[in-house]
Amino acid sequence: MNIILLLPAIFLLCLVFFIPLLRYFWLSLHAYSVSTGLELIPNGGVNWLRLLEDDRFWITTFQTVRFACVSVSVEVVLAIFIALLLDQKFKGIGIARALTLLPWALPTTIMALCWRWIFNTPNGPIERLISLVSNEPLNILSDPHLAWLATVLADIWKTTPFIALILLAGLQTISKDLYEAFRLEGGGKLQAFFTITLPLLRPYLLISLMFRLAQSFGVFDLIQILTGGGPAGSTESVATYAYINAMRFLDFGYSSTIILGGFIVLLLLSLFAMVFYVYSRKIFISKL
Amino acid sequence: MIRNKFLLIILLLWSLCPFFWQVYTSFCSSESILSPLLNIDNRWTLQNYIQLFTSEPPFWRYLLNSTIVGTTSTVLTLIIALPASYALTRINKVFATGFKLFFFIAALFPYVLLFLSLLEIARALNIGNNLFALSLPYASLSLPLAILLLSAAFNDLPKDLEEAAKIEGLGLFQRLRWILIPLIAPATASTSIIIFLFSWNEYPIALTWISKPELITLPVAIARIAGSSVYSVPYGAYAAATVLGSLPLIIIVLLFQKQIIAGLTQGAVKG
Amino acid sequence: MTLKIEKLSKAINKKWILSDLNIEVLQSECLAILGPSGCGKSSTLRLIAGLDKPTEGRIFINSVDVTNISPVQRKIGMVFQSYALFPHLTVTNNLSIGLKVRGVSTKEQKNRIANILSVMQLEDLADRFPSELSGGQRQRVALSRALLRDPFVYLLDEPMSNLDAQLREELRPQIRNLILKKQQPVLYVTHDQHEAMAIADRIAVLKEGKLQQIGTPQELYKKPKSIFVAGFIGRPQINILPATSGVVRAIRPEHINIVQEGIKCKLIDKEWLGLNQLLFLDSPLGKLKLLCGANNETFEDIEISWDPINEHQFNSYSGIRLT
Repeated sequence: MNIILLLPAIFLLCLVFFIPLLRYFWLSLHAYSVSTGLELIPNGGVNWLRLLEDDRFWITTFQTVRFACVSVSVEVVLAIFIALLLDQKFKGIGIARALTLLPWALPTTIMALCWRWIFNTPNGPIERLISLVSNEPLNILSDPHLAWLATVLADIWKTTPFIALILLAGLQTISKDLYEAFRLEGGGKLQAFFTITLPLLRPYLLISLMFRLAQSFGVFDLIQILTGGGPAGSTESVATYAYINAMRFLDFGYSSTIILGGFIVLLLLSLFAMVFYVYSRKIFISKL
Repeated sequence: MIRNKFLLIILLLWSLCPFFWQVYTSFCSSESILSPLLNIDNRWTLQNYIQLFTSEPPFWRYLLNSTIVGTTSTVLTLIIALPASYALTRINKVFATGFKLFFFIAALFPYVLLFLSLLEIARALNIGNNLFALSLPYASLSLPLAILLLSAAFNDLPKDLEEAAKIEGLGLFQRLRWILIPLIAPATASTSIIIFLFSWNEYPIALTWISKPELITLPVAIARIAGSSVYSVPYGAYAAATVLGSLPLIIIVLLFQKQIIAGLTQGAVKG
Repeated sequence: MTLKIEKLSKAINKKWILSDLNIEVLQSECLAILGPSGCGKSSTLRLIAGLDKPTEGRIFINSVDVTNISPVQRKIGMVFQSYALFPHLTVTNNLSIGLKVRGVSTKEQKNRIANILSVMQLEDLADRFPSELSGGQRQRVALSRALLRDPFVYLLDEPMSNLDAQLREELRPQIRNLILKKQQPVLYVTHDQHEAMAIADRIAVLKEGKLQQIGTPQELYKKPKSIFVAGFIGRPQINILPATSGVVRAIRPEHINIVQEGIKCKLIDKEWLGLNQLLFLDSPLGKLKLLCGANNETFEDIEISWDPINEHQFNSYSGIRLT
């Protein structure tokens, strides 16, 4: 009886997770695009060979991983401070927490558009400030070295509060007695942070890291609106590259291959991260 | 204490400044956007907003569309997730752990990668350009997180309560309807809001499933407004659109801050 | 109305938490199931209620085999340790929900609830939520719900363990009067030997899923079948003397007398208990406790003896009573 209650959920999840992945695999083994007249024509591993030799795919993958790693690590560090800041009791703290969370609640397209205006050359506020001290505009969104940092900054703005709230939940599970006991032992505030807060926060850090890394690997809306993947493809992500192949070049077979290729990279990275985590933990414990 | 308050104010400024900048821009005329320091007569204007409401379809239509999708997705998710979450707490522990792991991985999965297959499904079933159909992928994608949150809530209920109801003669659906679901109402509320926010904000699937201008959701509409060129400058109109598009969410966040925060924290503690 | 269980056994993950339990509870009899936590007493109750399925054995209510039928059909009135009141329903609705699903007419529901509320002195609390009630009031609501069920059997799972000591003392006679006036058998699970002795007609002592002894409180006190029962029944706890040639002797503190000439002991500590005092002695037989009147004068050197009739003897290997 209980299993029956689970069936609709399992059915839907298979429909949106398993079947699509299988379908991608199937499509990746076929030529399937406008040039085949939208017919499925088996072409062996041609798509996969093309992927291996596709520099743009590898550059895109590198850019995606770079985006994910840089933005998530900055976000987590910032989020720890924000969580500590929000872990106080006074009147209006609820409103303060809600307001910090606002960037996360807004649609990414809206916030990306906000930031596009802020980074605008020459009329955005940043460029205007720059123009007060220098005659050279930064050209943020048209400089390949700056544009990806702009996407990182916008992502930090949007998702740091989300991580901060998860860490706040963790902070609130830590008994205040621990800090008092530690203080009686003569420990300072900074020491308390490293010996009590950080270790006890680790499960929460781990959860938010996993969740954010996986999600930012699929970054799409932000890139699409803020930079359109440019300049010169310097902010392209795996998702936008697959999207362009499917919706602009109408090459569904290759687009599927890109998606699967990206997925495999993500799996390998997660596996690597997991091994690294377990290994570093062992070292950490043996040191204790 | 004063230092903390000061830092908190900096934090709030950081979170809200981009938004204030949009509000400011949205009331500026094009001339004043281009040369803010010049003293010109027609500095302030409502033109940007008027333009949004007089265009075809008017801007409120997108808000309505997003509200429809958000609501139907939330309801659909709850209808499927509530019984499933209950079942998850009542089946064999080994299976339950397996399912939970599966749901957890599914919740982590960057769903954007599914857009192409989902588009194919929409084409095959001929359900593109239908707001109600759009809630089908949204509900499916929200299910993993919803089930994890709700089953944690069911798990927290004392077992005695359900057993007392059994002894009183309540059948499975009566127990769910009268006892268990009312008891996890707070968790259901938090979950609903998080699903609603997701469905309201979702972009890539809405982008590929809906092409009729009068049916597109708010995020897609914003993208379209922004879409013409990365370098064009009708920023007054953009800003007005972002302000109007954000308002409902600001209201939701302020009204339901407790539930949203509880939902996120529950997810973290139980996850 | 009777309740009978035969060879009732339950295994979880191949571990026996209850084995071969045979108990019969007669009409209007109260049987207490007593034992330390984890002894299987609550499991027994759950098996009888039908919340769990036994691995082996049968359960009869009014001589009808109910082993395979649902909790509802067994007509059980159960009071949970936590009371299991529905926190989102008022007292009235907590009581009416069962009647409603069993198809009792609205009018009759009202009558019966009004009646039980007045019997239990809960009229003023009818519209309160459980969170707005005190522990004792919650317990009365839980009892009312069980009574309204008009059951064949009452099952009470540690109904007093969440109350403070004073309230327990007050409620004990109330429960006794209320339930024992009825025709139904009552099964009362507790870990408190004092409560079991005060409330029950008979007591079944359980240890690690096995029945140790079943009998009236007096029997258990006077002739415990094993060292375990001897130690579990009676406070202060019985003195167990060191084993000699396969025999363990035990004597209750209240049965040791202070005499002019006997076993020489040293007084190491004493507790004043009001009417009595408890002396802690160091004797050639090991440490002993002695209960005597509070006014008895005590000296550091004390000599004691006891009537052999009051002494219990057990096999030192099996712990079983000798004759």
